[in-house]
Amino acid sequence: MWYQINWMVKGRKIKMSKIIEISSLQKKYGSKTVLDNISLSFEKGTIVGLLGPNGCGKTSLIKIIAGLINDYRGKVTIDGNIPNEYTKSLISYLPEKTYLSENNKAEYALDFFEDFYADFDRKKAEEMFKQFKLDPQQKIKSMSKGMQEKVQLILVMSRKAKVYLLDEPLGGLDPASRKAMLDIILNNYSEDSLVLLSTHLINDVERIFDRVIMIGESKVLIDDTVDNIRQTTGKSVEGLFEEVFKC
Amino acid sequence: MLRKLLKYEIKDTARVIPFFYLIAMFFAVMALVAKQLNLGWLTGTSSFILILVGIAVVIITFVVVVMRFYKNLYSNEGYLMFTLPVKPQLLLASKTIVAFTWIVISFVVAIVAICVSLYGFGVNGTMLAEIMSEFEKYGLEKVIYFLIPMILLSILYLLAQIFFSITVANRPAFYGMGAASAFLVFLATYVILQIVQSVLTIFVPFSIELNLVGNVSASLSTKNMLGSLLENINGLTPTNITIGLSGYVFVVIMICVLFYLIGRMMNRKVSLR
Repeated sequence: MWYQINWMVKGRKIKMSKIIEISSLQKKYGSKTVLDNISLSFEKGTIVGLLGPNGCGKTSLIKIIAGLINDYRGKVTIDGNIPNEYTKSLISYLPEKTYLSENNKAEYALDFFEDFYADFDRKKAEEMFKQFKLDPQQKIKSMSKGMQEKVQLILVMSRKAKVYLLDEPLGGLDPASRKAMLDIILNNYSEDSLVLLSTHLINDVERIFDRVIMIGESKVLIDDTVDNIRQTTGKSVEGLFEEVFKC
Repeated sequence: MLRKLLKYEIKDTARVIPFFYLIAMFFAVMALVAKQLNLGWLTGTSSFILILVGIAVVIITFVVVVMRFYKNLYSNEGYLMFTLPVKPQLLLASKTIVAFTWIVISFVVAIVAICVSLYGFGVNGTMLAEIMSEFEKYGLEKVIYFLIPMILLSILYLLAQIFFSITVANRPAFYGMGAASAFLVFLATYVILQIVQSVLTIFVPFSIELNLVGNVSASLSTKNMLGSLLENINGLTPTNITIGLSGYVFVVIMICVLFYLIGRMMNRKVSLR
């Protein structure tokens, strides 16, 4: 299922420059194995959907790449380096949780990102704040969950990163906001970067994926381009997902 | 990067701690003004409150810096902090430097508050000078030169143990125990280290001997502390006091070891929930 040649995805040629390589990855929590002998590689210029039921290891995989989990077996490299402060400078990570300090204003987060990430474009972030009618002077704790998620996604997508790791970015949003969030992702990701997005709201995001990886029972069950899935199975990604993870 | 981390660390902690300094200052001014105006009941009340505020300032500072360490690194905020392009050891360094500085400032505030309270209660400069001259008579005024570094070392030692406990308690093996795990790890660490420190202090023949006859003189000695302790227990009047130094050497080593272990765990073993 995996292609080592250049792809034609949605009419554009994808450069096969590997940015993330994972081989024989195993992650356990106590006696429970959540990722078992996973080998994957990710190229720049693609938007990859990481799909699977709850507890299948999507978040663990993303956290390992982000450098938040270090007790795993196997090899994970980002731009040729194991997760370290260099790889963290390449990765723009959006966790499924609100990681901004609740007692601070959104402006504090803008200052913080500007100080620590050389690739952060503050002007772009401020423009998106205006576009989504967010007030930088408002405290994070006084914002709704949806507003907090928008602020975080704006911060993350305002970086010119090589890798965007987005863990359930649409989880707490209404349908209108979901569309807006997807537009933020599509409008701000560059062809020189990789977007790895985990979600269970497949129908909403299917349109933006180039490639889809389905994880279940600790293993990679499906790894293919969206175009290929449609051609070979005659199903949408959501249809295939429902079939693969049928209860 | 350390400079930036320090900037945000100071910014975030400065919202809470100085507020308690202002409260201490308020009661200190009230006690001094009341004393000048001879308002006995107000002087007594404000001096008493000032002592409590002085003690509270130190306790609250400890609570704030410890909570900050936990919340900023091991709650949801950790997802941001541990994905910053900095070595985790720098996160530890910034938190330790700022926490240590705030605690030292709070100790100074507490001492000033207690001095003002004593003045409010009628302990004046003459009485303090008399106490100091008694110390000087025995050559003990230089004790302060030992006391200050010992207090600073103790603060750092306690911080190292607390940060170590929080870091260990956030390893996956302790997830099931919840918030109590950090407290239990701290208790175990503290008790074990205290036992080892006491044993080394008492039994290892490396000490400082204070001669109490005439002007107090001090010299390094290869005696252990046990003999001096037994003399005190047996009711003999000792002419020399032997203070074991190995325990203090152990403290310095353990501060380095604990910070090294915390840094190593943060770098290689971190696993945020």
